[in-house]
Amino acid sequence: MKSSASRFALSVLTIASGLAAFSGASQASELTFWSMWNEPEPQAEALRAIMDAYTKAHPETTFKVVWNGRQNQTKLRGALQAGTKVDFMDQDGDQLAGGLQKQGQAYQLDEALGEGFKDTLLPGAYDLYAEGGKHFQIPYVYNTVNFWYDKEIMKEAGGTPPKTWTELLSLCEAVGKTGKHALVVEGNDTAYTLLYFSNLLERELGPNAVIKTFEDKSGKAWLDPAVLDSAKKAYSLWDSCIAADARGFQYPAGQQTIALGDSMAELVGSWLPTELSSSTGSDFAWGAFNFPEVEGGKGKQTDLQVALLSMMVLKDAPHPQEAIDFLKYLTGAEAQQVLVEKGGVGVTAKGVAWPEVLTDAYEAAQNATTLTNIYGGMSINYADFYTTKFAPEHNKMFLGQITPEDFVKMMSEETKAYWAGK
Amino acid sequence: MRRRMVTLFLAPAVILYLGFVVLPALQAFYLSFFQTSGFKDQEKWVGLGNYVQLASDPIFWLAVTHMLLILLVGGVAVFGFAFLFTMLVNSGLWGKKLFRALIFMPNIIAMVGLSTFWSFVFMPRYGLLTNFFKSIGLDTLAGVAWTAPEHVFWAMLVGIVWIFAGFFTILVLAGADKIPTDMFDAARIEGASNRQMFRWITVPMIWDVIVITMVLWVIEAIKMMEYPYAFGGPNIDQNLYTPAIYLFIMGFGQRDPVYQLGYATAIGVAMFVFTIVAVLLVGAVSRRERVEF
Repeated sequence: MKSSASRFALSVLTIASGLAAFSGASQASELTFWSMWNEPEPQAEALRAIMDAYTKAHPETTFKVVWNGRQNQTKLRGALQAGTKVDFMDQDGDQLAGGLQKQGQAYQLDEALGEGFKDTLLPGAYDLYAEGGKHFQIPYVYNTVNFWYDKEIMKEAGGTPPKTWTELLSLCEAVGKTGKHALVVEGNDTAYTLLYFSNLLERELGPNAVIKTFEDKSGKAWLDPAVLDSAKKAYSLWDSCIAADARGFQYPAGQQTIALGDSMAELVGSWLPTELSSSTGSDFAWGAFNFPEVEGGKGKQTDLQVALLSMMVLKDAPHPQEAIDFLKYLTGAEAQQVLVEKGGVGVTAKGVAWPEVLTDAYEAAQNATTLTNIYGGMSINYADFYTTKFAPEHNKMFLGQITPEDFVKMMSEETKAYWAGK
Repeated sequence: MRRRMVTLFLAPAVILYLGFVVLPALQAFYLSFFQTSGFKDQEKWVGLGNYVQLASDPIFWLAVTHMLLILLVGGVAVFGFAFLFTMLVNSGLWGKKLFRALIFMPNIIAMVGLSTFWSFVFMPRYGLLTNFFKSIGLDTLAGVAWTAPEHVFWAMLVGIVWIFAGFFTILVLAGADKIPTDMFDAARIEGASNRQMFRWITVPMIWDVIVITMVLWVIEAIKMMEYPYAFGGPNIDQNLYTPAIYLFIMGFGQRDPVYQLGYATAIGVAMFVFTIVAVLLVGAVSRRERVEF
């Protein structure tokens, strides 16, 4: 009898512990994360610290990370074809919008995140890559496009951050008198040079003007005098703002001239101070100002081109809910603070101050009236036209190989041909 | 028995070659008849559509023009230097091994390092060339932006020639070293100059080596990508496009989500055809009686 009771007790114990083990196994999940960072980068270090902290608080969730670097999305494409299961990944938001999101490979987040989520992020950040009101990305790093400048040179020239195009040209003249160059460009970088024209067009015709101009299938929108005016204004920077030899600067030669104290500013993303930190040292007096308004234009000086980095949960993720739970944590104040401190980046969460060097950019992000995508957003939905026609032909115009009139005419014809081919 | 043994030993290599080279190549041919992003989308059959588009694509033909310039202008320069170095090194020069090592050295340095070096040479304002011209008072030349769009291709080509001349010199030298020395001794006694010995002894006796090196150059020039891409930077200007770079941009997205994998594969097939045609041409043009020794 005693023996039977013992056996019964043992059986119950075995079943109970088996059930407990089973229930534990069903909750434990290893999330697979493919990242755009390289493992030695400070941003990767910050993400690793955040994941470790999350696992400490949620022991049932662990992470398997593949640090792919900037070609992450392209590498993931091959892996998905081969049947690899990935829970979430990160990349530039515009690249994701034109890539995985456009191809229907992203998990829709609205139900899981709810209405209130967008209010936890800086204005406009969550909606930037939304499609028809549906959200597929969680932006977690915030890059703004501004003129990044050396405050010492600005001071030496007796200038202040310009708010209008005329003030910018006056500042150029003042800097020129000090024997330095006001602006610098990377002549070989077709994307960086496009920042001038795309910003000018958005200041002339309002936010998303580049996309709207292209989406006129007749091509006639390019013939709007404001477009030609923007192209002429961009090209006119060579008269008094940019040194002629900058046509030959190959990235990163142009930005190095800022570190060398030869040039005052470059129109570029807020990653510049980090990129140049080994040349400038930590005590360099960085400042940033928004692209100025043009007189009579519809765009505001507070409108901002941005390049956000986003997390995306894959449509076929093995653990979508667990991944989303982690991404909520990632965009919370605690984790975002780690990204600021360890990664040295601007972040998307409201109320989390950016690194000191990015103070002006943080202010610009907080006060942004409208966010548009970097380079006017063409690379998202019309990446083929952007890469093969728009950016290269614009670069020819900006570097003086064709005239602004030729550029506008060519864009009009190419746009018409593009839509006719569709 | 012997045949079975041969088959048995060859089988692993043949299977691997078929599985990892021939089959993917055939798949690539097949893929070039589709329109696809390469994500898990539905591939759309377009037949010869990609090739028709390619035939009227000015960017593709610009890239092909650059490829031909590298092949022909670069080829003349590369082989010119290779022959010159071979002639000089074989002329009884002191420190032959040292010079051989120096000439070959660029080939052991990473392409990114080489492109960084040449970017610095041609950099406006601070570059080596600019400072050299300034130091000898040639201010007009010092003011030229060698990497501006109108010059950048030729600046890039200089780097290519510098890198590949060394590699092909080593190949030509290796062939020349096998020529019996008594032939050169006899020629010297007859009063032949170094140039004459090179023209009438070295070249005919290593003709088969030269043909092989030319074939290698043709293949290298047609698939040229790493150096121009590293030299051109992250958002590369079309002045530096080669077919391989264009393929990469259309198929792999560069920095932008282009992802036209079917079209990119058609570019790859076109490059394959160029290679076959060019190799056959080299074979036809260089056919001559072989000198045996």
